[in-house]
Amino acid sequence: MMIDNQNIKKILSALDKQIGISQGAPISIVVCGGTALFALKLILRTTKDVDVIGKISMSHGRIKIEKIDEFPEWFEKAAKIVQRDFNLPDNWINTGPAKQIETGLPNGFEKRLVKRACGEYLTVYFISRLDQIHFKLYASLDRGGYHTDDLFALKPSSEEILMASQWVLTQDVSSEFRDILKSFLMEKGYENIAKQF
Amino acid sequence: MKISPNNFKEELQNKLIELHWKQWTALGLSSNVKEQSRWFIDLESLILSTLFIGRFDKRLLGESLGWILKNRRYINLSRLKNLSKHFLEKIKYPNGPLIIEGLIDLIEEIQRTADSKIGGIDIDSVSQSFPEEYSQTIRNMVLKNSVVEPQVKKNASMQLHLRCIFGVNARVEILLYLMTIKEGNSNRIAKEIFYNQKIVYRILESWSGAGFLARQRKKRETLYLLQDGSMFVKSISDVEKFHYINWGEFFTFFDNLLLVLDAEPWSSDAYLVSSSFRNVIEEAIITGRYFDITYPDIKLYQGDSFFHPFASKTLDILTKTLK
Repeated sequence: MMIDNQNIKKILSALDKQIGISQGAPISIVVCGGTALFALKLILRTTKDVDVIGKISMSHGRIKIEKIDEFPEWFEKAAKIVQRDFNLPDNWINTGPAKQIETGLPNGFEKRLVKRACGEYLTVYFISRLDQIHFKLYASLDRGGYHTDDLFALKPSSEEILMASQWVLTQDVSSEFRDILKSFLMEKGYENIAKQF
Repeated sequence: MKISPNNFKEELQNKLIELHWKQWTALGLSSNVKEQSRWFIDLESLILSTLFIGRFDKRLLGESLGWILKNRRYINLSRLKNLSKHFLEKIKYPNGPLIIEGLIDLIEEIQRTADSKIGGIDIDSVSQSFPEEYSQTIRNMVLKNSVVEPQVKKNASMQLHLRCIFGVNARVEILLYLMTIKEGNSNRIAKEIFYNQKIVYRILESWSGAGFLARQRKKRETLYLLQDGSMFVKSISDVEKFHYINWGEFFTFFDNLLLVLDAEPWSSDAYLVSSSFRNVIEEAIITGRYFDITYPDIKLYQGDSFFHPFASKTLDILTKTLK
């Protein structure tokens, strides 16, 4: 069964309830990828998993994002029951993009997060449209395919493509990667931005 | 018609209580419900299930205790103890161990006293071992005149009839098994009737040696089926085909469902109830088979959408049981 904007609310609410049943603790997670795209109604498509970048902790009233190496046992237990209850694939919720925290997030990322409480235990922070553009540009250069489709479905402005381009160059500083970026920008009609690099 | 978790719980509870009354009525309790006649009653399963369901109907609990007092000689305490392990494993009622231990103590106590006398039992002391919600009913336990001796020659009380013939031991349940399921190996029979396999094996071998049973070798297993015993069965019952229900499995399935539906946060949450339905789908499928009721594949329903198909099939089972 795929995850989409019709069932995501129910799935996350179910996860919240199962965390309670599994005697878990309140947890706030940061979600990117396809789930964040349709949860914020940016692009209506389906996905097979929920990508978690990290968890939120509050420090002096400010949001801090921490890496999750692995989910707590009670979270895994709750997720397993939800997997069965919604016929979801293995690892339907995973920390695949967690290493992004180590390589660096776009400036102002935390402030742009969109908070959704899913119940008593689970709070989900979806990454914003601008940060999706950053991540999708990076993924387009790396893997292409549906990431490129997602990038342009977000209808980015030239300013946004410029900001995202500047950020992706902090993720890979090699000259080869710079050439890949320039070539991509040229191909997609952003010659003026490509010339800046 | 769609049904809410609360309405489902209410309907399930009412039907389940009615089923208990129907079985107890067939065994001699006085009530305004029609006694059950289609299936053999399993006394030990009924006693244990009534203990759990009795918290919703104190009169049922009280009357059944009166029956136990009067008809204690029919109760197989050893089998009751075996079955109680099954009940405790399946029904996670917090007071479960306490009420079962209290019941076993009570039956041991009353079986030690002379027939039809309860004067020798220290009811106050016995009632104290039960949780508060039960102790009052135990304290009020009296030998009622309204409780009559069961009419053991009725099909529903075949177990008691056979106990009058063979004594209160495993022979009765083995024969009931072979009368209904027709054949089985010692392991399968022991598991189904809640006895030790060694005991069952010895009886099967002894009966087979006497020609009462036939032994058949099928692949790696030895199956036993009625031989001369079928003549005996015909002599005690005019029913050609008996319907079989494993009441131990049946009652634990329903009692457990009721427990889930009665507990927060499940009781009012269609998703959590559906999730717990998925936990017992195997038991539901087995129970449904007795009545040709097929449960839907859980994979076809996401989250709380499983609630209605499951609830509807489950109520269908009880409706058929009550006919």
